[in-house]
Amino acid sequence: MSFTRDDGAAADFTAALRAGGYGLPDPATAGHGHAHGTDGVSSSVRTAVHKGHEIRIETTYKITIDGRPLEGGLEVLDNGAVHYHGLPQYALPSAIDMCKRVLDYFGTEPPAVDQLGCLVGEHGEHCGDGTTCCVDDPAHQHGDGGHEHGRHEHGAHQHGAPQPDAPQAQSPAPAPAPTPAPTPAPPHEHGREHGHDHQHGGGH
Amino acid sequence: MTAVRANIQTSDTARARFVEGVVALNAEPSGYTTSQLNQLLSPSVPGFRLYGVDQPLTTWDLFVLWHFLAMQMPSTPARPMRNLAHGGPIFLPWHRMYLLRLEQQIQRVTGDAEAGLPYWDWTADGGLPTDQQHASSLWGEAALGDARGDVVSGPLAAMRVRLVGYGTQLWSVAPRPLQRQAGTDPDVPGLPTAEDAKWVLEDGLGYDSVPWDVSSDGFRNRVEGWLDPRRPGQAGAPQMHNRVHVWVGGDMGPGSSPNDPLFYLNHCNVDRLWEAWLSRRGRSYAPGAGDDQVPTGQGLNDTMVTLLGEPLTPAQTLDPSAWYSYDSLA
Repeated sequence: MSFTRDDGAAADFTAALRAGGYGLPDPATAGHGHAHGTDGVSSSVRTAVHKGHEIRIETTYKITIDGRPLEGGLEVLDNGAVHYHGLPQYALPSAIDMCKRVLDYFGTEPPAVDQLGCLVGEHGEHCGDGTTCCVDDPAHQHGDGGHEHGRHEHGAHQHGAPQPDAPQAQSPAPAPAPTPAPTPAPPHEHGREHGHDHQHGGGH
Repeated sequence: MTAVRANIQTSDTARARFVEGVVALNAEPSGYTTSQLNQLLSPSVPGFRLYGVDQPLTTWDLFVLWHFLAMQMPSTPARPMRNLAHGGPIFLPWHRMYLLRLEQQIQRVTGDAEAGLPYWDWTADGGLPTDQQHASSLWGEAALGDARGDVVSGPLAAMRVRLVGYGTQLWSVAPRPLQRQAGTDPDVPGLPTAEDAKWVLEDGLGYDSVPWDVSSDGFRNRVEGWLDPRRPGQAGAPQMHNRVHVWVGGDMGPGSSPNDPLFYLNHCNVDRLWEAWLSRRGRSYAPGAGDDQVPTGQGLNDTMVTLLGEPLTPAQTLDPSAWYSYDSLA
């Protein structure tokens, strides 16, 4: 067994990228890769067997910071430490510790103005909070053979050119801050047990 | 001839070639803009989206994108922090493939077909007093630049960050210098030590075990750094690989951590430890064909998430001798 050798030439180097990537989960069954944590709510399940008894603990967090939901969500590791996918090497003793670390790292404002708009197959709609959301366009079917990727007609933007007037993707930031409150609101944390299977919406 | 990977703190040649290569790749146009990548990847990667500035990206940025994307890919059954590059047995093979592809690009841009990625043996610096670790020979104007704050001295001052993790999203930002906060996290005052490396290579330790996640005991999880039963009062505290990320901080924190060349130096040392384990225990991987609860995409012959170069399986990474070796496995 050994590495397959390629020559590192530019054409070969980006072939996988041009193909949309290799080794990816089946889009039909995988769901969104980072779908865990929606509207500040996220759940994780711990299981164990002790003396023949099955233990199952489902922990659900509902977290807001300055009244806005935390994007991404938290998970509990088997040892009780709390993990946030946006800081992948960190595991901290509590959700409050993790939220403090998220604020330390990312602040409360996105790091740029989003110029990228909606994707092919989406169009912009007004959200309830006055922003514009990108939603799936039911008239646009991926993989229907009639769609040419790299060109779209939704007015969002053109390739290679910023379109500041285009509908902007909603920015579900780690901690968007519409209010000037200097101290983050403590996250609401509760653990509860359920007797049913929990679905993460395809995330991990 | 194959590349020989050397200790960056003892080989001026390896350090100079590495720095030359990474600076060149960080400036080399990839031919892709952020908006083009959005349209290219969104059909095959549901939920994938770049946010922020529409700008041309470099070859270096594509590696950042690849790592971030792999980290978003689920491996089922869902377990905390387990994805198609981390938190499971795939961690070591995937990063071996990933480092190899960067090493090839360094070889291309430097014109040195035998240029090897150097490693940072952080256990050596971990033996220093904690208040001196951020001032070791790795850092400073003559080496990898500032350990704290913006990297504005040394050759890496030329590097620019364009893609940053913002929570679980990847944002394109106005180019800025690298940022670090080495040794400033009070919860992680020091780097791993030689004793820690000895512990992960403990005799008789298997590669990985059920349930193949961050709770499993085995070489993979010990070196990834999710557990350390020697420290029962520090449940979840980052160890080994994780500890190095957290100790450096700054751009080494989010999923966009390959922005900092230190990412590759850290993972090259992790890969070196894996090579030490493989050389002692045989070139094996787990889970095998008869094992239970195998997470999807993490089997011996599964194709690993690939955006650049040829895709590989874990089986194809178990013997890297056709590509590189290490100057020392000790």
